[in-house]
Amino acid sequence: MELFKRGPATGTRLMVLVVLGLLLMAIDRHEQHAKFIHKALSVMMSPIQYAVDAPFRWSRSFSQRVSSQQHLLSENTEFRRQLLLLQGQNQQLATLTKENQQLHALFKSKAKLSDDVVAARLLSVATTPYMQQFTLAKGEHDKVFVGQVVLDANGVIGQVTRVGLNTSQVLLATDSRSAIPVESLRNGLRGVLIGRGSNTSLRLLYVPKSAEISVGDEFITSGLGQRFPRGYPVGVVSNVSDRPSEHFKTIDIKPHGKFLQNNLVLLVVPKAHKKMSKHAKPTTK
Amino acid sequence: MLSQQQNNYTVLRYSSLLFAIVLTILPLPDSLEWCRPCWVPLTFLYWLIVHPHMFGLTTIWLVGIALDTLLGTRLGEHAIALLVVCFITIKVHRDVASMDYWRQLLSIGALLLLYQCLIFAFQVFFRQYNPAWFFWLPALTSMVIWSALMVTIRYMYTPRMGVY
Repeated sequence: MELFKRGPATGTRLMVLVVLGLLLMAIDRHEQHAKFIHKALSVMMSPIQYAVDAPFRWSRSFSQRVSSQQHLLSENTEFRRQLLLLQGQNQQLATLTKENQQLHALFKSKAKLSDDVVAARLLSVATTPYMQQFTLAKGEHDKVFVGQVVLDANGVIGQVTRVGLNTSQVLLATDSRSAIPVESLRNGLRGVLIGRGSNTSLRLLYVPKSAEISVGDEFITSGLGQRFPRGYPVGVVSNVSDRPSEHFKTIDIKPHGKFLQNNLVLLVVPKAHKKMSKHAKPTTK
Repeated sequence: MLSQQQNNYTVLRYSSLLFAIVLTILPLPDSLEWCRPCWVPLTFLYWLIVHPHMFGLTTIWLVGIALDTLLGTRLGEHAIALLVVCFITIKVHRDVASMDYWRQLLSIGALLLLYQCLIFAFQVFFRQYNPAWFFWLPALTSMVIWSALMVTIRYMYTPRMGVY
């Protein structure tokens, strides 16, 4: 499939194609215009991704199938124990939610509706090593949307940036493009959390020097900007440094999430999703 | 205008491209991630040096967009980088193909370094860059792969084969 008739590659053709590429790059910034292109491209590329993922998936399920019965029994017992603990904790949740709603009603403010979570499987495909992303085996068919929060068992690990028909790309919080608005659980101090590459802590920006913050403070998503829902644990402060030459404090946050160690992640489906902005964009710098 | 040999190569060249794409997204253990050779540009260079009409610029551009989709980079980054490097290769293919072992290896290394430079430039432009030295490792490992492939190039390029 050629744009130009057969013939030698000329500088003109090069220029045309380069300009086309730059145009695409400019469109790519605006998710609403690029949505269709991303979907079309993902439809063509997802067979390759699923094909590369298939052997790894089979080897995983095969190794599960040949596990010794002893191992499976002990795993089973452990799962039952954890499930019981979680169910016990959950019993309190209903009461607390009700009380929360009643308190909000007293102050005449709108209570936050709780969110659903949906599990999604990671595809075993690599992306570039200098960007922290991974690919999910769920896409628009499963109602995944751009900007959706991705969690693992311990906390927030990222957000969805590109949605195809049956795959999506997730940007991890440790990637340098990621920016998550957070607030301190202790005193409501707000800031923006950016990533600095894998295996390094996240950095909290825009914290004034006068702010009261100490090592061990918990940070949760603040929900500012209407893109990231509020209340999900992100990390804990690991280092606070105050340099006279800087305008703001330098704060490092150790994320809760164990990035890329699991195969399953959770996607948050806010109950108030329909009311959310239709033109959702991922929160990036 | 395609010669008979090039028509016969159709299945081979497209399947080699597909294989290169698969190798590009194959998950590797963390320690080896940075050492992955630039399979797709390597494949293009391999074919274009002997048969510069093997791939049209549009095909190269489309493969670049496909790479961008798979790797999650901004659409157009790999497309433009591939275009520039393949264009240069097409223009100098005769010189490179007739070079001796070391010179050819270095030329390929330089071309792939240029490829990485362009990608790096885009990353810096969009303030997403990772300033680690091992960003440039793929060009080196690609050279290693090339030295293995060079034998076949010599074989394809000798005039008595009727290619040129």
